[in-house]
Amino acid sequence: MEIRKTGYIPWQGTLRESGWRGWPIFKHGVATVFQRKKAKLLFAFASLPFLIFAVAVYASLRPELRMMTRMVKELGSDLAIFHSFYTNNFLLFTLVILALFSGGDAVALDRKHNAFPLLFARPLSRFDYLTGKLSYILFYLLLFSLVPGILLLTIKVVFSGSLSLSPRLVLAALTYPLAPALLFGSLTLGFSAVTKNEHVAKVSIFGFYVASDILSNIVLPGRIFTRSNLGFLSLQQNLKRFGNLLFGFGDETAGKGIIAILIILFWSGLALWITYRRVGKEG
Amino acid sequence: MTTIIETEGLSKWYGPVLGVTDLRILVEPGITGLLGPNGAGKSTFLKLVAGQLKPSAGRVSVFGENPWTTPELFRKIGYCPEAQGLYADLTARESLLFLLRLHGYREGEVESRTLEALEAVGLVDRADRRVETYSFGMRQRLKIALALAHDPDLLLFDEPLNGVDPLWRIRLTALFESLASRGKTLLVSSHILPEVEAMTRQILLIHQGKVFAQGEIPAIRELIDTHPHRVSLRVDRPREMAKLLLESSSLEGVHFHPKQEGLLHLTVTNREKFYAFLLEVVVRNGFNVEEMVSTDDNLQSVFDYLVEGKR
Repeated sequence: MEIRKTGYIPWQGTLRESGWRGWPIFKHGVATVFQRKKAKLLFAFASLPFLIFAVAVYASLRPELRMMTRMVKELGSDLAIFHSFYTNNFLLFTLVILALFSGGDAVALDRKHNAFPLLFARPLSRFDYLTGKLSYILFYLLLFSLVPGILLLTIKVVFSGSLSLSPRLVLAALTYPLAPALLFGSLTLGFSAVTKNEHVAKVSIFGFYVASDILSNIVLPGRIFTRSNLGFLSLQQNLKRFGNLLFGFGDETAGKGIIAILIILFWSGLALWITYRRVGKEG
Repeated sequence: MTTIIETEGLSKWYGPVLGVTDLRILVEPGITGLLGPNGAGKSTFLKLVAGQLKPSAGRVSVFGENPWTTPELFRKIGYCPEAQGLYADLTARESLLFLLRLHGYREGEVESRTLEALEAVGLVDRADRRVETYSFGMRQRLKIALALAHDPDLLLFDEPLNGVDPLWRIRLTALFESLASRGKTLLVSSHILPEVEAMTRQILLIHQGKVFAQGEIPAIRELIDTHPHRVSLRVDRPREMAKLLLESSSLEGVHFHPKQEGLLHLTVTNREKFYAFLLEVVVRNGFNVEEMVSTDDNLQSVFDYLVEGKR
């Protein structure tokens, strides 16, 4: 008997709600990035700050090496060591490179391959897609910032033989890495979403980071802006100011640190909003 | 009969360009052929049903839900878009595994469904080759596999047989028919009429963004009263037959085939009345009718009659 006469028996169940639907995108992204050529080389390069600061933490705990730490201002205290680890130019530069390496093509490739109709013909919302993509970029950024930070804290506890860590140090060491990860992760997605060419996206991300720094360094004495205010134009300076606020360093006021984090949140929010608008259904 | 897709005043504009306008459509289980010339609005309609486009006006409901706002609905919908959309650097197996994982299946089920889908479209032996090495037809088959891998209740195919070789066209047509016989609903768009005619008699004809006709091909043909029906008749005594048939008020004209002896081409206004009259003539006069064909009772003719002058 043909179906038209048989009649269709509609499905009566409830729609199954699984957990976070961006999980497969996260897993796929992590695996894909790890399998890329030069990934291991880059990861080794990105581990250098950790290795150097692991030695510094160890040296700060050994009486026979104290002389060395007294010579280097950045090794003067635990807060100074961690502040220096998180806000040094090399680590921030490495995080930018990691961001564009892991996520420069995150959305650009989907746009290039016109994959949205196939992706969004699944139980997947734009939010799931966006968080899935962002999560694997964050994974790699935090793997080389937050995870080394935790390892440095562990090294300190192990070699000092004491669990007594300053609450401020723990809080700052666990909180600060989220700022560069969020900023670079969201900017990467934003640039990746506005082009179908992954190379253009990568160059744009790097160019934006460098250009913001160059712009902030243009000194115009006696004009409208002071050098200090121009620092807010720089992504790097904003991250450092936020680091100064958290670790209690620098001669700047807390207000500048708060403005810096607001600027970081603004850039991140703008980039994520652009990404959200550019991906998914045709509208 | 359960309605699977229902639209009410459904319209979509791309800026000033019309996609579809004021579509009132009901789609029931089985295969429905979505027909129309290129640019008629078939893909737009399918995208609206597949939740890929937001309607400019009106509403579309699939299984009673709005596909634009209900991602969960895609557990029950399989969509095969016209655009390629495949990751060239993945293999067919990887593509299927990745997209099936988005449905939330467990890993074992993902793998078994992947294998089933690859088998259905004959790509098992090439499953581990990168998609970039595939021919256009193989990519089409992979897209079909991606649409049906999660065993959806509604399948939306946009030009699925484009670029597919003749052998696989037949196999895929059989696959669509078997899916329909299992209670699935299939909406298959094409501008190649024999393709659609081979799989269904149920059509939805869209032209210039509007619904021109919906239903079974013969029923639609019956409604087209602006064009008389054409019937070919092969008999043993054609001239005598022609003379007798001209007495019927339903017959508009008779032509003798110039080369084939015994073949008459008839133009009929009311087919039912004419067939009754013909039967009477044949029985009363003992004609030997060798062949009788309704030459314009097919999809091509219906399509031509409906869109002629409106191209």
